[in-house]
Amino acid sequence: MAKILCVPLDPVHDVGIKIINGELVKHGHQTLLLQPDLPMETIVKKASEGEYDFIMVSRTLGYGVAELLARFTDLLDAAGIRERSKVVIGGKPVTPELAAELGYDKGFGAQSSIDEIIAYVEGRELPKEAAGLTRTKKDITGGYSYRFFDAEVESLLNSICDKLLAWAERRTSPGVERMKLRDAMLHTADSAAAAESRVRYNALCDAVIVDANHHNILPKGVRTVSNEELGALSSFLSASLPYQPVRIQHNEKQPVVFKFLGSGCPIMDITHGKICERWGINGFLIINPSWEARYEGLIEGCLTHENDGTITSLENIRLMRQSLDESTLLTVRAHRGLNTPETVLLAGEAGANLSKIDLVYGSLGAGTDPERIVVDGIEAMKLCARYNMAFDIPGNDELSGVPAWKTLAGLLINVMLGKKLGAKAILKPLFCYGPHIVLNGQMKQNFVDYNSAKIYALRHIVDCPIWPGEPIAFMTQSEERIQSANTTSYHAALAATLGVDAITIASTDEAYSRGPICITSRIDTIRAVTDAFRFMGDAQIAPSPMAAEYTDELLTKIKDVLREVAALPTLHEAIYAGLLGNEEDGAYPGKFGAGTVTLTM
Amino acid sequence: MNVDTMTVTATVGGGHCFSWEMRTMNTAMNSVMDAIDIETYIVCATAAEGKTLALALGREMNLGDVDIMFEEFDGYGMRLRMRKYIYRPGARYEWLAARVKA
Repeated sequence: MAKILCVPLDPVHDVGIKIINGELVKHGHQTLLLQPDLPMETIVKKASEGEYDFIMVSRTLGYGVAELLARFTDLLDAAGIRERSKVVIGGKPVTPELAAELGYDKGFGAQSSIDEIIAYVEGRELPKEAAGLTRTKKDITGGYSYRFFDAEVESLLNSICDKLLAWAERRTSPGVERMKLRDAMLHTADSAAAAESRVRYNALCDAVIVDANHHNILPKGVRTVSNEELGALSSFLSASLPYQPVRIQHNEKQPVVFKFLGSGCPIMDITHGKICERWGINGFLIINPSWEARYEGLIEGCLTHENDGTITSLENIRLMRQSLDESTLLTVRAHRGLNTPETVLLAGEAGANLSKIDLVYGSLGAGTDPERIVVDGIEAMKLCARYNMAFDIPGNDELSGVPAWKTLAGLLINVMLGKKLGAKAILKPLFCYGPHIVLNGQMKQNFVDYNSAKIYALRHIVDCPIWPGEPIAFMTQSEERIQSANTTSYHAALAATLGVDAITIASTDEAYSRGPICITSRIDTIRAVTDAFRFMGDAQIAPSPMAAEYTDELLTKIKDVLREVAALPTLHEAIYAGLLGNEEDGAYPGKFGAGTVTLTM
Repeated sequence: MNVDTMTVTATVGGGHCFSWEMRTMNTAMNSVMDAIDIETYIVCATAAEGKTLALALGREMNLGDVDIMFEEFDGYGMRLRMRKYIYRPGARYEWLAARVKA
C-alpha cells in the first residue's frame, strides 16, 4: 500500500485528480486529496506533515504554468520532501519529456490510462497484454435466424428466387467457367492438368489479362511489388507494436466499424490498416480498381497500382489478410464486373472473412449486364457458403437516384437467394443523404427520420444483420475536415442508437477527389466516431413521428415492387424492365458481359 | 540529409528469407507516411487573392505546388486546407526502409 498526497495545483479544476484519487483508494492505497487553489506553501506544509510516497500534482497547463510547476518542485526540494517522496505531474498536455524538464519524477498525459498510473504507484510493469491487439473477431451474422416475419414478402421472395435459380441452373458464363478452372489450378497437384486448365483459362480472358499474366505487359501504372519491398514491409510490421490499442466502441452493443482500403498499393494499404487497427478499426473493405471490373480475367501477382483501387489478386488479398490482425475482418468486393465468382474464390482461398455481392446494384449502379451478373452472382453466393464467408449487399443504387423502396426490395431478393444457397447475407442500406429522398423533401426536417425508417422497415421484414453504408454520411461530407468528421460521427451515433451490427466510415478527405486518402484523415473520423460512441453510450436518439410514417410507406412500396418483380419470369428481366430502378430514377442496366451467358451441356 | 547503406534481412510469407542492401535517406520529409496537410487562415481581400497566397505559401515552405483541398472566404480572409503528397501509392517509401533500420 502506498501513501499518496493528491494535489489539484489549479485554481478551479480538480476532476482528473479526483478520479485518480478514487481509483487509488479502490486499489487499497492511502490518499489525502487536497482542495483546489491552496497556496503552494500550504501544500508543501501538508506534504511535509505526512510520510508520503508520492505527491501527485494535477494541473491544466497554460501561460506561465511551467514556471509555477517548476517553483513547486523547488519548494519541495527545499523542504527536503523529495528525499522521501516521488513527485508526479498529470494533466492533458503533459508528456514524459515535459515532466522531466520541469523536474518531476514522472508525467501522465491525455494518452495515459488509470492502469498505467496504478502500475507506476505499485512499482510494477503493466502486463504485456496491454500492448498489441487483444480483441476477438466479431461474427456479424451471429445470432440471426434469417427468418422472414412478413409472410407475403417471404412468399414473393420465394417465388422470385426459385424461378431465378431454376433458370440459372442450366446456364453459365465465362466468369463462372474461369472460376472453376482457377479452382482446379489451385487444388491440383497434377502439373499437366494445371497447365491444361491454364490454357482454357487464358482462352476465356481478355488479351490485356493474358499479356499481364504471361508476357509481363502490365496495365499503365501497375508494377510488381519487389521482394525487397515485401521484406521491408515484414520487418516494418514486426518492428512496430501498436501503442495502447484503442477501442472505438463504448459498449458491446455498438456496431463494429469498417474502413475502405484501396490506395492502389498493398504496402500503403497495410501500413494504413495497421495504424487504423491501433485506433480501433474492426475491419476493412478492399476497393479494387474500376478497370478490373471491365475485363474478363484477373491479373495475378503481388501488384501495386498508382491509381485508385488495389488489385484483388490472390497474392494481394493474402498479403493483406496475413498482415492484418487475426481479429480484423477483411471484405473483398465482388459485386461488380466480370469476375464476381473468381473474386469470391480468391477471397475464400486467401482467408478473407466477407465478400460483397449484389445482383441488382451490380447491374444498375456498377455496369454489369443483368443476365451476366445474376448467373455470376449465384455462383459467387455458393462460394460464400463453401468458404463460410458472409456477404454484404450494398444498396448504393440509391446514390443514382433510385427510390429507397426499390433498393431495399433488391437487397431482400439477395438475402433470400443467399438463404437458399446456404450463404449468410448482411443488409447494407444507404445511410446518408440519398438523392431521391432529398428531392422528395424527406430529409428537409432532419437526417434522422428517413435513415431510421429504412432500418425499421428492414427489421420489420427479416431477422438479418444490418450494416449501413456505404460509407455512412456519404454525400453529406465536404472537403472540410471538421465538417466531414462531424457528419460521420452524427451518422455513427444514429447507427449505434438503432442497434445496427456494423458501419463503414469514410475519411475526412473522402470528398477530395484529386488524390489518395491519407492516414491522418483516416484517423480523424475514427476519433470522431469513438467520441460519438462514448457520447451516446447506451442512450437513444429519438426520431420524430415522421419516421413511423416513412417506415409504413417503405413497407407498402417494397411489397409493390416485389409483386411486380415476381410477376416476371426472372430477376434479370425485372432489372432490364426497370422495376428495381429505371432511367427516370437515374439507373441503367449495365452492358459489360452482355450476351456472354450460355446454356450448359 | 543522412545517406546510409544497410543490409536488411527479412522473412515473408512461406518463411522465405531475403537479404539485401538498402540505401536510405533519413530526412524528416522522408518520414512522412503519405501527405502533409496545412490548415490555416490567410488574411486577404478576395477569394482569388487567398488562393494565390495559399499557393505562394506552399512554395515559400519549400513544398512546391500544393493542392488546395478546401477554401472558404468569409470577407476577412480565407480558411484553407492544403495538401502536399510526399508519397503517393505505388512509390518507394523511404520511411519503410528507415523504420527497418531503426
